[in-house]
Amino acid sequence: MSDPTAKLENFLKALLKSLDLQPLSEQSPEMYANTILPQLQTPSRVIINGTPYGSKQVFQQTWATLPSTQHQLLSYDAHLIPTGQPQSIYSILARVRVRFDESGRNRLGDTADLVPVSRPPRPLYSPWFGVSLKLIADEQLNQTFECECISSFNYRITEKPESSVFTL
Amino acid sequence: TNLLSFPFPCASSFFESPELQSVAIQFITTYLNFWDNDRMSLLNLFTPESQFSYHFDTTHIVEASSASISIKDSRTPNSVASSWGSYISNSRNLMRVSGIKSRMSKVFKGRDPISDAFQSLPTSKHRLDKDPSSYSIEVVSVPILNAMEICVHGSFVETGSPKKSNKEGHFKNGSKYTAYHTSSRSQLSERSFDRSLLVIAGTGGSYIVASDMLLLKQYSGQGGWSSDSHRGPVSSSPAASGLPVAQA
Repeated sequence: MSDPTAKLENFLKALLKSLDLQPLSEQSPEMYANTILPQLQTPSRVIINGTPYGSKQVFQQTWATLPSTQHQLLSYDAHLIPTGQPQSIYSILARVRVRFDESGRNRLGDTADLVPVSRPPRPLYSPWFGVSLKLIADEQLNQTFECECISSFNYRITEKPESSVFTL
Repeated sequence: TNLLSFPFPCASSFFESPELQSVAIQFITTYLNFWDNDRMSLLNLFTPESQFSYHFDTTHIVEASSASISIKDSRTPNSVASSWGSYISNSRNLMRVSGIKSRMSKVFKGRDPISDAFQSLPTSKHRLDKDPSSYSIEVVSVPILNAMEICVHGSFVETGSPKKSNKEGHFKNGSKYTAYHTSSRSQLSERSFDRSLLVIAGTGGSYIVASDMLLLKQYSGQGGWSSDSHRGPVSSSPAASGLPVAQA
């Protein structure tokens, strides 16, 4: 008997890593956006804080405008559910925390400054926010993480620190 | 500025369609009402293939507002054992539970194991029907299962000790905490939670719960969605009447 959940932790960490990726200098904004959560199916159900994104591309382009982020997986559980078809699906419920760069620029380097201002080279991260992550993903992820296997991605910030200047 | 705000609008709830909204609100309100008042009645929604598991995570992220913490809680730092005693033996946090035997023994499949698991958890009181704004719900369809997925976030108050010790019935404990069967010694607390249910509509208004996953957290006050609006159709007043049963 093999453990059907054996690869899920690395899978979740790969997803979170893609949400935190910084653009490379040679990447266009479009190319960079495509590297964010490439595991989403087209179309898929993407719900961020209760707001739906029917288009993978719109979600990716919006996420690309965020300041730098750091995600950390805290806990997770999962059920493998038969579908009556060859492939079963995973229902995954995870707890994650995230913090945002509060230095005043986004990951593409945009700032609100009218004139150039010297800024610290490194992000100034906010306190942690709590996130509930709920996924439905195809069993196919056991073969490779580089596949469009996520049919539902629900990202909900459930805890927000009072001391952060970052607002929801 | 925009550089210091999350670019995704925040809404406390999302429903994929008006039909899913009315069905899901009624279902989850009734489900949590039975969870609090007559938990064993929920077993009618479960089949031999249904799965239930829970886990807790003690990571402290934000402070609850001082008004919502009891004086005792605020003064006494609690050990994991005393705070989470009822949940420790079968908590299925896959970050911590390694080994296939242990992982598989903590997911409950079918009515009898799920019945034991339900009875091993403290009795509770949710406020979804009285204070819906302190909860957040997202509902989407899952076409491959002809099902809906309901995610609910919020809090509940523990009102009493579990009906059954974790030692009884189908429970197999390999945990180092096995010796700590002191559910009655655990402190009753308010908890925050995230819960996900996959619900399949059967014939004649019946439902099957294919999957029920519960994540318990230290109480952290109103969630990140507080003071935001609903997205999707306006909610209706839920009816907490009888619970449709699973198909035979």
